[in-house]
Amino acid sequence: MNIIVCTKAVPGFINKPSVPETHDRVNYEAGSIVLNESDDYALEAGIKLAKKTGGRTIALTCGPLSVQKVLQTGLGKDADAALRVDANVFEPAATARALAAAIKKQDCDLVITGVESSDVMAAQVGISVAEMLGLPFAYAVTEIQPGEREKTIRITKELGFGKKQVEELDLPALVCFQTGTEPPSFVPVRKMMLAQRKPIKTITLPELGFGRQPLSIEILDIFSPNEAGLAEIIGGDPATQAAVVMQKIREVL
Amino acid sequence: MTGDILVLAEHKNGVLDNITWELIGKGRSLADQWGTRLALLLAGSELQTLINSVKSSGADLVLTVQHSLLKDYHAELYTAAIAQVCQRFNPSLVLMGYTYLGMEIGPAVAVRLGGTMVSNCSELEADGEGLLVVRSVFKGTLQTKLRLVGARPHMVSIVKGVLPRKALAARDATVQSQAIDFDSRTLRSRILEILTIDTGGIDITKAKILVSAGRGIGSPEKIQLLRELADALGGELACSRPVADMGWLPFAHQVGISASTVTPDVYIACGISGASQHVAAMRDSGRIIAINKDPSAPIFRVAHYGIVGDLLEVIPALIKQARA
Repeated sequence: MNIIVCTKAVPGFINKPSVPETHDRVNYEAGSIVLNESDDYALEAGIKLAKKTGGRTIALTCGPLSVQKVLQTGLGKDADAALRVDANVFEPAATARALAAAIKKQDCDLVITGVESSDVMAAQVGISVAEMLGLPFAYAVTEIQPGEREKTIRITKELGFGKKQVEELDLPALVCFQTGTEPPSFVPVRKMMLAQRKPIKTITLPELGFGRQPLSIEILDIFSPNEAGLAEIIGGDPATQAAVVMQKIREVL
Repeated sequence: MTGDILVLAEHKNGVLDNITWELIGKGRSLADQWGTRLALLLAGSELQTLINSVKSSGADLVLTVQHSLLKDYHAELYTAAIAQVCQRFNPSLVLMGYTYLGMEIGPAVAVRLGGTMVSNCSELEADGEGLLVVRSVFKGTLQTKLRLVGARPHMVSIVKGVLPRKALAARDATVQSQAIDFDSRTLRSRILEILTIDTGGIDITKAKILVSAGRGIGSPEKIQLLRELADALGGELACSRPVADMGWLPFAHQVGISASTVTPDVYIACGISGASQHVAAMRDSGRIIAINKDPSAPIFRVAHYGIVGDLLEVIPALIKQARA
């Protein structure tokens, strides 16, 4: 089974967020760049399944050169190849169009994405890519196995309220992977250094047939919501704080 | 000219979910502002009880899709049903919850209809004939204000529990049954089994006091400290998703839209940042007390009382007070 895993580089924390006059993005200084959490789980699941079924894994991302580190992490985790769509887009729909166009050019049975990125927090890209490519899909998937029938997979997904559903999907398909109880592995330093020497293919938006894309959502402002926060902050030393909290608890019991 | 507004209903065991009532309230006020109709879309297999319960909910129209294949939640079929109704009804705005249904089906319907989707919104207001929304970004530490300028329909998913549930003037809605074109032979996904996760008899939904652990507790050894606090208060232990994912506490203790929704008298959030999936499942607690070392943690937006500080100092002090 040949698998493409869509990954995203997200900032660990940010400083100085601002919206440019183009209203198409949020500019910021990133404190660090890390692989998005659910994408990390997606990568591990994809690589494991490809190995089990004798297929290849491609780690894919969309972003400028500065996000390349997440693909090296993918290679360090044993992805067979890495591909970056060279684009600096922020809107989920634009990201999905770019990824879908890049995936279309690959030989692929299954696409795996994470459920949500920690920066834009839209939970939209994976399912949008599936629909753009006309693939069956499943969201919040916690397990993937080869299906009992040819050209299928068997997945388990969350339904909410402590319920899960087991489904069979025809391949090719797309699943959005959820974080789970099997923690992703760390890439040893030596493997990471070797991964940094491997080639990473890039493809540009014009090569994928895209010109300038109109905005569908304008970003007007970015702000800290805490100004409107509800919480009454209890000050003082821990003993004083604890005394106040216990008084508040006794009031409602 | 703005067209009609459609709310995608969510229901379970013949009862409408709270998120749908919240969306109807918002949809009604937008429809009144724009002078358009508000429609509610109900999809499922046996809808009569539900139809009766929403006939005077405040919607002008109730569109129903009844089909035996819609008995269980099947994403491919639900996407097809909702998209087909939208193509016929042609709404300008579709409102849904930022729930499993909204996350799985919303983007697919938006792409199929060629519309513009914005998800995970906490505020929504009319801007002339358009829409302005507010949504969280960067782990919920910041919010953005956005204007939807793309093609209609505009599709907006809204976080559960952030909109007030309003009492609306009753109106007698017209009920319209919608025929759907399904061919079960061409389906590319099949439900094999529905699992209810075994909680081993633990039921945190009945606790009056919950002491809840988040990733911020730092290590599994700290669970013991929180257990002592829970015991001293006569409460139970709960946790957020990462704590259960990491195996620090069993799934039965997890609070969140994937697990349990809780409404204890007192919810003490320890080292919980306040991801929307967690907050949606505990925000109706009587008193929420958040303890976190990061003053910008989103949990302080829903907490009644907050302590910005180190758990290792605050929790032992609380245990001492609780035992006094």
